Amino acid sequence: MPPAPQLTEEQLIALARRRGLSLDHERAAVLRPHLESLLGRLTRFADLLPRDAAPPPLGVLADSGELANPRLGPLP
Amino acid sequence: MSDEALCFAGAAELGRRFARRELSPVEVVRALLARIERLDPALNSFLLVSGDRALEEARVAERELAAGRTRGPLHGVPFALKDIFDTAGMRTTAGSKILAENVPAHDAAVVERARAAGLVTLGKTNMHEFAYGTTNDNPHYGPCRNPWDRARSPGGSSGGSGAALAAGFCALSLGTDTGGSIRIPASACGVVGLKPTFGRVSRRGIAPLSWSLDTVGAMARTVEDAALLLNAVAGPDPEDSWCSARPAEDFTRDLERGAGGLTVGVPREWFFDGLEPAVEAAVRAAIAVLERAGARVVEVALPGMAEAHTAAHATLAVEASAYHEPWLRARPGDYGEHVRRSLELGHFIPAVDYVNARRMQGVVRARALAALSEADVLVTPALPRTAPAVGEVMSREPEVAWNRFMTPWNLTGFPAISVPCGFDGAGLPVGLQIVGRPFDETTVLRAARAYERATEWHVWRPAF
Repeated sequence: MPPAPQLTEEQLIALARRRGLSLDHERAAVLRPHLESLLGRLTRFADLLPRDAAPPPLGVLADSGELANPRLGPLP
Repeated sequence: MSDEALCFAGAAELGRRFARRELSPVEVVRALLARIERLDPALNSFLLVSGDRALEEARVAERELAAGRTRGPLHGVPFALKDIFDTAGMRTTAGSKILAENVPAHDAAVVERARAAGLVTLGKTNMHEFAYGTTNDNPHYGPCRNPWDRARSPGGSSGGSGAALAAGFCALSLGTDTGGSIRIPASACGVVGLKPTFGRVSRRGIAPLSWSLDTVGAMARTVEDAALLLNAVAGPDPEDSWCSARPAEDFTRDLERGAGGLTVGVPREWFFDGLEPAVEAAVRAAIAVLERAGARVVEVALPGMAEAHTAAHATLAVEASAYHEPWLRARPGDYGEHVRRSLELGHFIPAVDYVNARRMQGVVRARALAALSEADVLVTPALPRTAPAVGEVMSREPEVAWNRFMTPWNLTGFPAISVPCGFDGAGLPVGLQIVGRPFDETTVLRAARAYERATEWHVWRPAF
């Protein structure tokens, strides 16, 4: 099982700045444990997912080509 | 009828009595407006009460009914809208400061349909800011409070709708459910909340939270009323690209068929872990009620629900952050702290993890379909605990999250309902969740009605 990602507050602040968001140390410190927990769980998905698991197209609908919008139609 | 009785009358009953000219929609709207004015300051369930407009709509309905022009079983019935639905010429804030001055030019698709069905709009209900939370602790307009105990949350995000129904302020309400936002307040307030299949109802004219998960649904005090409201608003909408083309149905058609012949699946894993004892007792008793009513009860395997919750959380977080990014850059201080932090978090989830969450959606859906190949419906607790105190911060960790039994059904898109099934020792409501196959709301409603018919939890009223 891979370890949970470790992020520093400085890394979070730099990443936020790159996206034009303002994040100070205090806010980054509150955010970090929540983010690390979520990323840790998501990282484990790589081992849990069957290799042939593809994302389903458009929720439960596209399986039967039931899209109402004729402009989009069923996905290829 | 006394004013109290008028205010707690069900939508189906009101519609029948309006059609027979035994009761006036204007009289009922007046009684409801007076009750809201008198009692809502203690609950804060409405963000906007459109009294003059409601009375005018009620007068129009009365004239139409007198002339023999009926719009259906809900003609003249008063309802309330979560303040996330666009209403032409009426402020729509989504519970936010960002949209505090937003007055849409057009009605949301479901508002158009509700008006066409003759429903009378009483106003807009309080909600968690931008529907991004489970408590309705709104930093801009004040928290909504639970009529069963005003120190408690009504749940969220459609908390104003749940509280207003429980308090007898309206007969019906429309809400949205992305991670339980209809079923949470329904369970916490002791009313009925139906999240239909993803794509069953148009989302045009609604501020999105997560395009992959957002679902519009019905809230009411009875199962029949919820089915009638779904009848009024469901169906294809070419202007909502994710709306199903499947034609609308009569969702009331099997309501009285009973539980005989139904197979009810009880998941072995996850859904009975970490429950408050009163919740477990109420839900186990509810399953026994369904069995006595004629259902066959079987255990079913449903693994991977922690991953389902995590996948739903990640999908929601990323999509909400994408939608809100321009505002989050330009006006970060105009968000409440809780929602701002949630929106910031979504920006740090890598694309690989988002895609893996979508892949997990497919895996969970296949597992849930397998469980529903052995049963017509699944039953679980709606929530692991009753309503928290106003201001309590709810965890999103899958093992303890308040909405952890609901998020799998947002991820799969399957229909799910919460119906009242008891109370804890403090007098707070407990909800039973019933889940069905995609586009099989009819069976979900049938099972829910069979349970409701065998019990009296839905007629209990808060004393406040």
